[in-house]
Amino acid sequence: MEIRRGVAVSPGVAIGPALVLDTEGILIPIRSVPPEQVEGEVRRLRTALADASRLAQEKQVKLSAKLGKEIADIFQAHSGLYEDPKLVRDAEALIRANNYSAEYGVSRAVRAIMKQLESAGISPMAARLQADFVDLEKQLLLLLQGEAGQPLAAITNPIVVLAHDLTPSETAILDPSTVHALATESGGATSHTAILAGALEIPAVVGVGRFLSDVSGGDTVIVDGYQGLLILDPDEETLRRYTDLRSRDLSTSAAHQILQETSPALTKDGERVHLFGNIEFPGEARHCLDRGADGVGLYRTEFLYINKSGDPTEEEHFLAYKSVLQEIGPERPVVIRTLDLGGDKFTAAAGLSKQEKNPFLGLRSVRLCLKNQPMFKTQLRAILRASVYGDLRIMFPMVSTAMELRQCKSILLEVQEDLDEAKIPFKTDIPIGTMIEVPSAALMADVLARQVDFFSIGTNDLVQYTLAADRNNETVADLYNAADPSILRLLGHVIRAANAADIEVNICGEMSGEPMFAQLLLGLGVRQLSATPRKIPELKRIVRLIAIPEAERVAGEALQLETAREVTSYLREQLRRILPDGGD
Amino acid sequence: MGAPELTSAPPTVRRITRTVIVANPPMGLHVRPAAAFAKLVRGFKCTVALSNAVKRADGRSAFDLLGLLAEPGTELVLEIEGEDADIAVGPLCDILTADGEGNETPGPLH
Repeated sequence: MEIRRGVAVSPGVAIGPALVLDTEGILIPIRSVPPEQVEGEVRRLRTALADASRLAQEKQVKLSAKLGKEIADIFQAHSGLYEDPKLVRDAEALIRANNYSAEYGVSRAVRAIMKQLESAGISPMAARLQADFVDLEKQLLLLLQGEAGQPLAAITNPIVVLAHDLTPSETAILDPSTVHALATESGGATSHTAILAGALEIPAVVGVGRFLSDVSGGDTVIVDGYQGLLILDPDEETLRRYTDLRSRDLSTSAAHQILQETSPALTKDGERVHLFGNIEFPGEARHCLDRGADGVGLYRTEFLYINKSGDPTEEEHFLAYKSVLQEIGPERPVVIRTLDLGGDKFTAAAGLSKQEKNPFLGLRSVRLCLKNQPMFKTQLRAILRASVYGDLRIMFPMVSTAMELRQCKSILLEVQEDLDEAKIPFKTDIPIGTMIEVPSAALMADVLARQVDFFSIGTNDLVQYTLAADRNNETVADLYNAADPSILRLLGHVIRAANAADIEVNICGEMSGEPMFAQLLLGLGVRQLSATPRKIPELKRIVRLIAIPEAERVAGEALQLETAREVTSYLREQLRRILPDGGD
Repeated sequence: MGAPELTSAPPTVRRITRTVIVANPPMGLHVRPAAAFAKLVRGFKCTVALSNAVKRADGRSAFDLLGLLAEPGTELVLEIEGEDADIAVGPLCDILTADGEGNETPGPLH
């Protein structure tokens, strides 16, 4: 048994056969076979090795003409690797000794070879070789499974997904009814994988570090999303403990999840605080209501784009928005954020064919929309049409200049005129807002405030752009910190600008779901928080413990501090002070 | 028990040991040279081993050779044993000491 520690990003526990994903996600269906089938498995293995070798040869011939002999020769080399006596011997021995399936035997053999490389020490050479071997394993598994090679979307049995990293589009197609948990080698608490896992309510642990060479598809693994643990090859006792924990979880979750409590969140001194839910999928509108949210503070619309080969149609947009508005009802606001693709939310559909060197500083989000107006207008038309079904609001993401905001508004106006002409009904008084998530926008908040009805501060991006630290890069994770004094100052500036212009301001990053920040944010003058739905009951409880003058004092004190560490320990202390049980 | 070739003289078993400094810039004994080396060995009758300070690799297996993680400049010991050892030694050394990937002197079986 081996226990690996990572970052817990979505609570819950799960036990299951592992599905090890690299880029395409190939599932090993059966781990062992009846003894009488073993020789058949060995034959399948030999056929697959011969086929793989031949295919690599063919590739070499084909690519020689196109790319030159130098590059094509790598396939010649791969072709030789498939005939390698060590690989054949090891895989056959594993199959015969353990009644393994051909898939599992070859996967174990390749991974044992990778493991040996790892034990020799970490070097660039070992890392490159491992990439080669992963590719080799994948080719063999594909051949062994023929057409049946299962893409992620076709999973039907309950499994635990293990990967180096998952792209947001891969995470988005995970079905919680079959994917019981996920664990990744890389990623941090605010990576999109983490956010999506939270949204889908799949237990998840990220940033575990290297573990994929220690596990093969079909192995039993445990993901503990409470403590951030990945347990490989669990022993009997651990299995029993987690099986108990999981069944307890499932039996209480029905009662646990419905914390519908519609009475508003009022501070100790009677100040109203609005708590909204962040959602990604229309189905999550229900989660917001179940947790007593005041509406949807951030409806991310990217999911409409990321599982597709082409852009979504106006009708697809419209139906998704309409269903959310109808679920939430006319009394509560739903803030729809226009397309925020690009950065790590990469899609072929949106015409992002060219790889950018620095996508987070590139053509993403509203920049992409302004360049691709037909796509943008399609979404805006659908939003406007849906507006008649409830209290809809529109928000533009990633705005970095006043000019961009003006352009967005003028395109919206054009679409409104088109709808008018076509006599298609829509609300004319829809509140328009902008995200504040780029430092330039934060600094220009007083100017931007004159152009919109509300701000929503996206702290995830604001933190990464302000501190110049990639939120998905664990090596700079210590810099990426919402408690950094620079972030506190920017927030203070934006909130003052919003309050001075008498427009609403909402915080919608991960920061707003973190109890430690609640006093600070209310003290800085925020009266709206938007967080993942499952955080809302806890936030409500904390808001009710806060008194505004006290929160203002806390904010004032925090602004005097010099480092993120000081801010964190101060805010934790102040949170403990107000919790009835002292935070234990 | 078959005992072939009773009439012919027993083959001369040759044993050759060489110390080789791996070249193959920039990546050393990587997939291409390792695969080429193993393939070449498999075409000979002799047994070939390649060792560094801690590990001894079977020359017939590219995976084994790759496990040496021999970067350019690494010193390896090449041991060849068998009747065709003296034919094998030249081309095998050439692969290890080639001045760049893809430029190794072709062996006799290419």
